[in-house]
Amino acid sequence: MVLKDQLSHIIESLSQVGFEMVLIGGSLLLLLLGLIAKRSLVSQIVYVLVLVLAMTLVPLPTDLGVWFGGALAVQELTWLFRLVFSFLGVWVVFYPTANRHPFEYYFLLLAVIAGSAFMLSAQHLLVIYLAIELTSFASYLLTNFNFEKRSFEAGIKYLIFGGTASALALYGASLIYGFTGTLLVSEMDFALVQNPALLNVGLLLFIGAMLFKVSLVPFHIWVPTTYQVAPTSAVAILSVIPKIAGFVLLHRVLLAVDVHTQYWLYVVIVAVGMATIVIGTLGALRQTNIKRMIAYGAIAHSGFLLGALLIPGETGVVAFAWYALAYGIINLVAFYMVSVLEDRQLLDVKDLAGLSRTEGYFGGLITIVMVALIGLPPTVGFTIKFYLFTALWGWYQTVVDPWIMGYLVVALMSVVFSLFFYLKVPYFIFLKESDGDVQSVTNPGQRVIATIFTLVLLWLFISPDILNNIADNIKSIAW
Amino acid sequence: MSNPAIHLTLVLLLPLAGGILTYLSGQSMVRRTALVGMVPGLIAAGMLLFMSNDSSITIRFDWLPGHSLGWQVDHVSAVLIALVYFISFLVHLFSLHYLQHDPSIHRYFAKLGFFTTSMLGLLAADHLLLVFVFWELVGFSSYLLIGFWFSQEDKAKSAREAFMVNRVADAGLLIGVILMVMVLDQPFLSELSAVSSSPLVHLAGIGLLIGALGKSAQFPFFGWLPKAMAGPTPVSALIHAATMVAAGVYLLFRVVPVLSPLVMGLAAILGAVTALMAAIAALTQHDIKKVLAYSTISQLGYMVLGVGVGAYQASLFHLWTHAFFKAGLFMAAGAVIHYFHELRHDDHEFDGQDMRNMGGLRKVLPVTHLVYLLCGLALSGLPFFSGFLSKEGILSGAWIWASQTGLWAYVVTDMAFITAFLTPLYVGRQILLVFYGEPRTVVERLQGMEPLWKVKLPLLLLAIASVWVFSAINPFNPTGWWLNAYLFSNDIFRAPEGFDYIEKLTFGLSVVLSAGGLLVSYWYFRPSRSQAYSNAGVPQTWYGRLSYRGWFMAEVYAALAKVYDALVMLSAWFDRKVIDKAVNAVGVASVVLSKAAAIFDREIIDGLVNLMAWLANLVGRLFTGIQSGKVQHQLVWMMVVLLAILLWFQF
Amino acid sequence: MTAIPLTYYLVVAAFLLCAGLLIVLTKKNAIMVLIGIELMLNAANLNLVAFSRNDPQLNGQVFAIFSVVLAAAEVAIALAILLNIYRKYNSSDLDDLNTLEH
Repeated sequence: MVLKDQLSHIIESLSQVGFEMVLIGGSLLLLLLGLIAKRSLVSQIVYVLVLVLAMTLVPLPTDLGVWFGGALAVQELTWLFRLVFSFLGVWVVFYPTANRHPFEYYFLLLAVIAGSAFMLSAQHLLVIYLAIELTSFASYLLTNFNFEKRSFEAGIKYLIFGGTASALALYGASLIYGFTGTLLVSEMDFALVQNPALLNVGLLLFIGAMLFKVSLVPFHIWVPTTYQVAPTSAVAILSVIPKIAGFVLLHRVLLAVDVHTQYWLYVVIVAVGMATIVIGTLGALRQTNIKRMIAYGAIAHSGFLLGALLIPGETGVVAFAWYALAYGIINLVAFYMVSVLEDRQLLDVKDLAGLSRTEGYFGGLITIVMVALIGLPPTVGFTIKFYLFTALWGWYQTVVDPWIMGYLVVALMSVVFSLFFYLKVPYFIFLKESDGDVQSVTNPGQRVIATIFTLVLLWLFISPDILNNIADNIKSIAW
Repeated sequence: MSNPAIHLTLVLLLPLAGGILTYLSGQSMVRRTALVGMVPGLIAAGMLLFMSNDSSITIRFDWLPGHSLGWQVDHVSAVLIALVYFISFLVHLFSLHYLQHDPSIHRYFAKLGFFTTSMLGLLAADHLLLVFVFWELVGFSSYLLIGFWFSQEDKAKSAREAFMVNRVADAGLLIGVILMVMVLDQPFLSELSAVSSSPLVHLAGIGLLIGALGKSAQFPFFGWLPKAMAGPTPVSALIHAATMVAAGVYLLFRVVPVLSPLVMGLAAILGAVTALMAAIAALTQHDIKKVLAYSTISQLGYMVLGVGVGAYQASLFHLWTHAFFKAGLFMAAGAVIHYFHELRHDDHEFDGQDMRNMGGLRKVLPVTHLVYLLCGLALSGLPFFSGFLSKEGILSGAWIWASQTGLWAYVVTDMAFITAFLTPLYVGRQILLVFYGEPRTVVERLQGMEPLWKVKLPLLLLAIASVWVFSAINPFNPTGWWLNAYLFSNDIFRAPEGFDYIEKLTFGLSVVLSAGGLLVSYWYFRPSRSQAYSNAGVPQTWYGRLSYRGWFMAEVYAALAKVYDALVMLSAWFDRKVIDKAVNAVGVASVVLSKAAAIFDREIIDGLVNLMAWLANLVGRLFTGIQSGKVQHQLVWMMVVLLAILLWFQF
Repeated sequence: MTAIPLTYYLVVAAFLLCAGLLIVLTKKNAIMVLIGIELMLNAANLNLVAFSRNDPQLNGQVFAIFSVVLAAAEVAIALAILLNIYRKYNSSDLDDLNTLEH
């Protein structure tokens, strides 16, 4: 290609990444505004405006394709989750967490979203690496944003763990590059390599970076500590947006590797998913800190999401998209409740004893959210688990693979076990008596927001039209 | 929405809407608003009977792709919806009298409306998931009603216990429903078809059976129903006699096509065992409501037995007749309790439910006495009453089933017949102790104890319905129910050729048993002897205590809870002793690792041993999900898993 | 001058990776751990540059330049956090950071 053609291709491609460009530009603007504006309200307004503007620039789902010489592949899932990210990102401004340095805080949140957005479409090893690192660096910093002693401790631990994982992933990427001779995931042909042992090592290490982002075993260990000390609104974002993006990326990479022909990798993925569910669920059992408990629950949810990726074809993608979307909403709501409680230093379930005397209504809302996290009717949590299990069962009947059966059994058991820890919260709120005085926790505004949030969970159960529409739009993806 | 859909929505939601209206308009308006939802609802339910006459009302709507939910009202549902409406309406009326002085009566009516709507939804639901949702709503609303006087610690506790026992059984139901919907692909009650026997089918059937046993208070779950008597008595009449406890029988009746012979046999055995156990427990109770509670359990046992032996039409018939006479008994008992509350309302030590304080009440509560007598005779299964007809069908069905099944099955039948003798015994005992003889406490006639509309009308309606003509023209023909043609197109369980003698024998035997039971009870509790009863204490013999304490079900549950607690303690101990040690050991081991890098050549053997211990600990931690806060331990952990994966697929 | 065979680069890179990993796993000082991570990153960079000999577009070398920049950014973040930790804990020893152990 001559230079002129290259330039025109780049300019043409730029129109496809308007979403990401607005996010990055907006985040820089926010940083600059921080020099002159002092009020945190300004930062919140600019943050929301940037996200809304970005949302309007998402290209239509009819306009999909490959851009920047193959480095970015804009697919149906990319389109969907760009919208979802900007939509979910807006809600954290309602969280009551007080922050020092609000401008820097929202700058970092936008950086996380921008990095995740790039992960949605990246299919060039360098872009993948850059996107993951952009998200990671911003996450390291966000972990510190409570500016307490233990925040810094969690921050450096998170960084060392993440840094090691990403260094290993980079080494894996270099091996993949060496054996396939290309950095473009779409051009790699793993079947051509004669002796794939070293290549497989590289592949495994590289996939590790994604496992780290989506908190799958054995890269999940940073999750509980980080979630516990980071500001709750940041945790709400971190537990949803990079995770979904990581799964979309993992999906693309597994697709390129053709995981169903590489049986060993397939088994590894299934085993990782099962181990994640088991460890997330068992770990949550003994937690008394609500934030830590939901963090372990989030690990288990990652295992469920991985299950959706194992199902080939349209059903799998639809199950994944649903689960991811609904999981994102449920988690945002759950962490909103947590942030309200955290505002009053009520993070241990024991502190919640007898709360129903003053906060019966809010306690009821929390109960609904916990029911959604378990996955029982009448909440959207049930809808997605039901759909996922049906899809898994359907696929098991076509392949009759004992690994899938095992996965199903583990997942169902996990739902049963999760009853024990999630219901601990309503148990303490409603059935335990407290020794001391119980003060009220919420103000009317918070109750209204919590009500709206909770109603969404119920409404999506009763009328899953939105989910069905999404399914219609992403049907063209094939495994 | 089509016309029937709108109509059905109205039928289902009117009680709830009325309840909410009553709640919002407050306590002072209750007399005017209490029936706002029920009267039009009753009319609408009557119209539903006609609408579903020609063909069932079926409504389906899409839920998830490939899944749709649905409602269906066929003849059985329509009749039962009308029944629930009728009883609920009478209970609404009676509650106006019973709770007239309660300051939160408007809250009561809201809960009552909520319950009625949940129950109706359960009857109209066709998809098993909807059935499950309404099943839970019914359980939850009944919890609210049982715990209506939640400020009294013991009543709130009873409500919680009843709720929890039900939840245990609901877990079984959930398994059954999930298997039915996802694996057997039979989500609609109206479209069930027989499936070939397989372990999964057995499992699904057993799951559904467990759910039904829980809701219908059958062994081993029956401990919750006596506890549920903590609620207001009209609530007991509605929930614990006529409607909610019958839901289990209704579910079994619906899923009969998919029940395997194994599950049917189990149902028959458990039903008969429950019938006998509860009848024995009813013999020694002092609390007027507890007798009725155990008798309800016993009668429900009959119904489950009927389904189990294949005479499910007779079970539904018994459900129908039982709803009337048991609701009548409970409401009459409520009238008695209310009378004592009014009489001795300043004496808080006095127990207005204890039969030791009663006797001779026929003079002060004549209508209540008459109603109690009629309904009690129906319950004891005397000819010319409805209970005789329906029980007859179940008993002969059980006998025929036993003659076709095997010798052991006669044990089941025998238990049913023994129960048929015990039933008149405790009924007679109760009627004699409450209404006859000399009063054992001072009683006097009070004004306004039996007002016409709120007490006499519901009581007399229910009592009259217990007479045979309102069930069948011929007082001796158990298959003569006038609804048979409408419900089952006359396709009912009949004795096969050559077994006619069983029907005749059953007939003779039950007449003898019911009359004999009444005579025996008269011998023991005749007015001249009942005076001494006021000093009766708690039975001291082991069999007496077994009966009085309801087979120690509450203690069994408590023991199970203790076992669970012990398991929790054990796991905590394990956590402390083993896992914490393991965590410490990992800390030690990683120090060893860093030293090993320097002294590897000197102490290879030692290093290997330590490495093994360290690996073992790591595996232990892998399955416990415990993590130390040390980032390097976490990294070691991660690397070991990665290496394990690499080694695994490379070799 | 004959070119150095590819294998040499790979062996050196593998050695660097293992050395870096061992430092990360065993050293107690946070700064040393960061140095270990740097070694691992440089092992990968060496691989990338060596492999790009067979790539006429030199993609691997471009990748390496990017990763060097990223490594610098990572260290900047790490040092900023470490500065705060040193203020609060008076130590940069990872074993002293134990308020979060569970």
